[in-house]
Amino acid sequence: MPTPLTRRTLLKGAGVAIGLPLLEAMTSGSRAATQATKPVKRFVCLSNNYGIYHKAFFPSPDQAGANYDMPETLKPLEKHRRDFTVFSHLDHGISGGHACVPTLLSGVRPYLASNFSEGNISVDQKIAESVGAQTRYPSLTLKVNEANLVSFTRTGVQVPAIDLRQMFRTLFLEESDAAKVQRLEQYELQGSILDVVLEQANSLQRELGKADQQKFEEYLTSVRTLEKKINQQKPWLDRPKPKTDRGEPLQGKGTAADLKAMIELIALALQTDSTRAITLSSGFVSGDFGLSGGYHGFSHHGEREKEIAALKLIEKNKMIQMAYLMNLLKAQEDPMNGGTFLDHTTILFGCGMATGTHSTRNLPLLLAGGGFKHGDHKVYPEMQGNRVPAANLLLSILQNHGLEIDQFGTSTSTLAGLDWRAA
Amino acid sequence: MRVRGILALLWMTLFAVANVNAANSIDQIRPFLNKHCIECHGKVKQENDLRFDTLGADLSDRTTLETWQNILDQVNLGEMPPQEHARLKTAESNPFVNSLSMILKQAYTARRSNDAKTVIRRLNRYELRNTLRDLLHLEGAAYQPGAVANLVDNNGNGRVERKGTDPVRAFPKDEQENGFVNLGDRLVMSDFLLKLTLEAAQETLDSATHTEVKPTVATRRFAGHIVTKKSYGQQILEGVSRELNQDFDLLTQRYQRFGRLSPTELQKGVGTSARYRITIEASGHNQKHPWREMITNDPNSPFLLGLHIADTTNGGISGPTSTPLVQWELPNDGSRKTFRFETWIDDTWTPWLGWENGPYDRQFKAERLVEKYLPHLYQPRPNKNEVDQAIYDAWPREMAAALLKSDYQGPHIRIYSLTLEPLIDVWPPISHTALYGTKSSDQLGSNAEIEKLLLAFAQRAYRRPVTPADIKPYAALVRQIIDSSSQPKSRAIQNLTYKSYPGSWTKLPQFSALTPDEQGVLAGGLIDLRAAQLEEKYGMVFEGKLEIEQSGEYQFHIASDDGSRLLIDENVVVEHDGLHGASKKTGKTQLLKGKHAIRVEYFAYGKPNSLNVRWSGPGFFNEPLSVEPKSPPKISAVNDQTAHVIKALQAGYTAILCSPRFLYLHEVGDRLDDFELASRLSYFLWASMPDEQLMQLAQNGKLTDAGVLHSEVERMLQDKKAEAFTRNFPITWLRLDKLGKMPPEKGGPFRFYHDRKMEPLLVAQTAAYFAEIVQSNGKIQEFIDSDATFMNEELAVWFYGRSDVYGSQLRKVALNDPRRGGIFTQPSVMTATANGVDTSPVVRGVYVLENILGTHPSPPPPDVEPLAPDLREATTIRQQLELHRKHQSCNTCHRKIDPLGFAMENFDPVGRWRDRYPKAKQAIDASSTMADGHQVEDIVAFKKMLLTRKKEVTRCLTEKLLTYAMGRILEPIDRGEVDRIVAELDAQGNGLRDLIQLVVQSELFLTK
Repeated sequence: MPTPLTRRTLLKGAGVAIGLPLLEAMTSGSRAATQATKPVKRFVCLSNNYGIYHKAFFPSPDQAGANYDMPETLKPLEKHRRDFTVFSHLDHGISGGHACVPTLLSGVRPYLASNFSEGNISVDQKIAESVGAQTRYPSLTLKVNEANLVSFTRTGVQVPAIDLRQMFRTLFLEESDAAKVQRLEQYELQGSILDVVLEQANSLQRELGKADQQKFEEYLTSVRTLEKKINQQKPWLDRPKPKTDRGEPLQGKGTAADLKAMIELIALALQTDSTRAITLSSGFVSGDFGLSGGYHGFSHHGEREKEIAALKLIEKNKMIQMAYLMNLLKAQEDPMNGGTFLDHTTILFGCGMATGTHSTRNLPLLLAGGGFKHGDHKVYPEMQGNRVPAANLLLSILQNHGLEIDQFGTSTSTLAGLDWRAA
Repeated sequence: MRVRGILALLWMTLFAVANVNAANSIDQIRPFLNKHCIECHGKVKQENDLRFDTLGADLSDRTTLETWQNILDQVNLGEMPPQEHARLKTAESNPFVNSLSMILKQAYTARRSNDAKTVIRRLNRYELRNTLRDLLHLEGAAYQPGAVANLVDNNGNGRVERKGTDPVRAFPKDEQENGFVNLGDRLVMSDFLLKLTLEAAQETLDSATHTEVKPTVATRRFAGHIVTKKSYGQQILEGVSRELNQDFDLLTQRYQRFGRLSPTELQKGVGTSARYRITIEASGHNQKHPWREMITNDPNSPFLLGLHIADTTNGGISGPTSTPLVQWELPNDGSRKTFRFETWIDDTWTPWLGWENGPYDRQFKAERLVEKYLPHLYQPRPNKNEVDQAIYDAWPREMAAALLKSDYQGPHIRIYSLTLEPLIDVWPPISHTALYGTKSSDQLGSNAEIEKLLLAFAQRAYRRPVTPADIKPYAALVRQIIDSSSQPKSRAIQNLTYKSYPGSWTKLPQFSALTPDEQGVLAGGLIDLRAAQLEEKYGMVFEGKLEIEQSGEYQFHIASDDGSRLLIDENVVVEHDGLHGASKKTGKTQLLKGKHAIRVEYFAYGKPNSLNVRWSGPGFFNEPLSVEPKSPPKISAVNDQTAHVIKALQAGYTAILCSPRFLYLHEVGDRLDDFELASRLSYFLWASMPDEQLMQLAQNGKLTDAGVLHSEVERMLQDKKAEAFTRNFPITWLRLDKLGKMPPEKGGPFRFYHDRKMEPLLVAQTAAYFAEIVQSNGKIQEFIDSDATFMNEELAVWFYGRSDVYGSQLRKVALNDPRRGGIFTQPSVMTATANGVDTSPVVRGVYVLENILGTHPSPPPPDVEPLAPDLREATTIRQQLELHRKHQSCNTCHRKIDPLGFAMENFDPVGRWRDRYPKAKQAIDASSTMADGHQVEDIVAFKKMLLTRKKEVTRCLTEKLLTYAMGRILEPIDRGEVDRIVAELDAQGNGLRDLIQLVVQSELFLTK
């Protein structure tokens, strides 16, 4: 005769019996849930084109670790000391002066791109590919008083940059309904045209020899990719752009003012999830900070005091602006991930040429936010043969971003000693 | 990477060996590896995971190649073997380094090889633009033959910004290698570029299509005063003259940024893009005059009046520097003469006149002339503190008036009139009829007609015969679009017509009782007052159909100045009659699904006048039924159905323009067929598609005939389109693509370069110099040295320190300085080889080797830090480089490089002559000892030395020409043909035009 006890036992047993699969189901379910809600990561690269005056930028190489004396140029970042890392002795191991500026985010000289499986694709574009149509703009390439030379697609095309005013319009200015209808019609038309073009292209390919066919593959890929991108753009036509109270920024008020306004727009772009990959190059115009001349001229300082003083002023402002971006991102709570925006936004400051004297040794590189463990001055081996490629840092950034890759550009591994909180 | 010139012989031998068996040469250097490296990187130990005893010799494998490169780098740097082991003697490592360098170079060349064949090649930016121009019959500033991406201009110089009509203005720069931007295997296609191409195709097809009625542009004559606004500025004499002389405008000075005379009425351009005949009446006075002490001009040179055009959206007449379209000599007796010139002018451009060789403005002021030559009329300027500001300010004008009233005796030009006469004889223009034929609208939509038009277009676009089957998919696309939505699905008015009635009313008249003055069709279905082409006192009636998709209530809004009325199906919906400002009225009505007639009546009294009509209905709000008066009126010459077919055809054409057969040059067999040859030839010399004659010759199989080919080259070089070659090739050869990358900065020591927009002029100078040698079949030696060059006033003053060249026309000028002859030391080259801040003999030395002598020095070892001069200490670059050459490994290459660069140190970063460095006391020492021991004391001696190496210069130029012509890098196997050409050219006397002929007739040019 069954008793409550046996019943209970049975139930118990049943509980145990079904407990295991349930647990497993739960775990796999939560794993799926984690994947769906994988943290939303963002990337901002701030760069300049003339390197940095080294002596005021790098802490002393014997001050590795957290207790380094803050160098003159980095002083504006003092209050964020625990939230950024400065690296000594990293570079891409290439030479070529100004021609290396475009290598910052890939480590690959454009003319050698064909030797690499992904060409000289830059970090921001690699991220843009993974973001795809999740944001209105897969990436934004920005400039303030300087050409932006760091963004490249995997086919080696330099992504053209937009300025302050265009950035504002891109983010907030809504097209008229009529223009949207027209654009949609345009997309449809372009789609049908590409269909026909692809058909023709396939017929041509059969006529070509082997070398030609290889080259022609590029064209075929372009047609297919463009069709895909057009289709990705269509849904965005119906979704409204974010609203803002601020008016269109005035442009041409000097680099400090323009750059500050651009930094604010960058913060807004991230906060409205308009994009998750941004690069910005900023420069200098004669008249900034009461200086007359050009950044390039100053960067060939020849150890003259006046030129060095000018460089320090220009470069200190870059740090002021980076600190400002960190302020803005720290102050804002991240509704998609929890924590602050800075916790999920990686900021990289750097230049593909190390100094104005065309040296490409020891690139000036700073990393902030993004959930990395910060606070240190990390010093890597200086000796030839033991040097660590800067592309390792790029790989770390991409892995931190959630990309499942183990190689990027000229990387040999992730950057030793740079850790981040697992997602 | 290629090795040429002095290394070439050795190189060829090695290459031959390498081709047979690369392993052989690797095996020859293995003993070194075994002796010095295997101990740590061998079977027993593998430090750093590197093992060399098993390292392969197959350098086509990337990993193997990289490992060998790494070995070379380490030994080169002295990093390996490590210090605890015996340091290598240079004597021992040098042969290893040299051999391995050579082997690796071969391997890289082999990796780069395409079996000496041209790979399918995308049209680059300028080729695409020129091809669109010729294919679609487009005209305008953006399509000038010499126009090169971002170094385009006005009449030959200046810049085209990313606006305007240049179809490739938004395209990224083409992939470049050694200056070449037309190499098949280098040029890349991407989805981004394809999108731009698609948009450029749509845009250019739009601008070639003309469904609007023939523009009615009246002949405009500006007589008496061309400039009607009152202004003095820098031009007091000219301004005061307008108050005194009613029948002419005065010019007393050579033009600078001011002193340019343009009709005030055309400040925003001529309004309609078209060909115009410009007629000028002018006279020149006092070529010889009594005021020579204060106003200097050459009494024996006739006055030159220049006609220019300028873009009013890009600085207007005070915009970029400009060269005249034409220069006229004025008679020296003061008699009036009429001049005519015909040119295309874009809508936003305007003509202007300037005195090319007038006296310089700073030389004289009116008051000084009066004081000196008319002292009885002179009054000193009143004291500023004692008189009114107005009186004080008026003084210079009074002095100018005194001068003019007593019959101005200085040299001057009088302009009596400027007449602008449009030359639009054929309408629609050929650009339209070439696309849509001349058939009436019902035939245009037939399948037969569509296929015929597409076939003809594809034939030209693909530059070869096309079968009807080839264009089937395009025809299907066109048909699909025509059928899918034969009614335009917009909320605008269908079949909208207008009637206009001149007349003065205060209320809407009975229009049905009046006869319209004008009537027509409005494309786009939007009401547009400007169709009347009247400013005030007129009436208009607009009629058409509204397509109602959903039955329901519809609202109509009218804001009009003055009266208006809106009727639907003859019932008044909005009544807004009477005289009033642009106030708004709304009316509503119920409409059933289907078509309804709409009629809008309107009258205009005095200015201003406007009519704004909008409507709202189920699912939409406030959609326009009238134009926002920004765009110019487009009165359609075709009905909606035809417009629809034209749109569909445009889609078909766009697809053809995006298809690979248009965008790529591809060759199928080994030897080019006639059509492939026609294309190769025309992209070589015109950077554009073959013209009708070339296509005809190809069709008849005549082009491969050597005699025909020869005469075609001659004909093509005579054509204006050859400017594409005489401009783009020297830019490529001389690496002028580097200009603008590191230009002198605003506000820096070379600010004039920026302020005066010198860069386009420098390119123009080099292009003009090159073109002249092409046209005259001048000798290759003229590139090395010459006794004349091309310049205009700006170049003369700023670069050559001369004040005897007047006006902005580039012209051949005899040199008075033996240091400045030839092309290689022109300011363009000197600027391209500097960085806008300082100069480096290394950079210029490498430049000479690579681009003039055709030798490519090995790249520096990987760890070489750039020289950073310490400008506080007085270490000169020479001292630094001397120190640097003491290193044996550096010296190997730099003893060849540095001396070549030193000879050019007297040219500053923008190519002006300098005797000393800034702030330096000592003169620059430009002397050096060449690698062969030859002493060269300065640039003059350097050029003499180059002349003795003429053959290397010729070979280098030949190789560059062949590369440019074929769109591929030369490979070692091409060497024989290059040698043959160089030898033959020498026998023929080294003429540049002969060289072009030899290149075209060469085996290389005639095969894939």
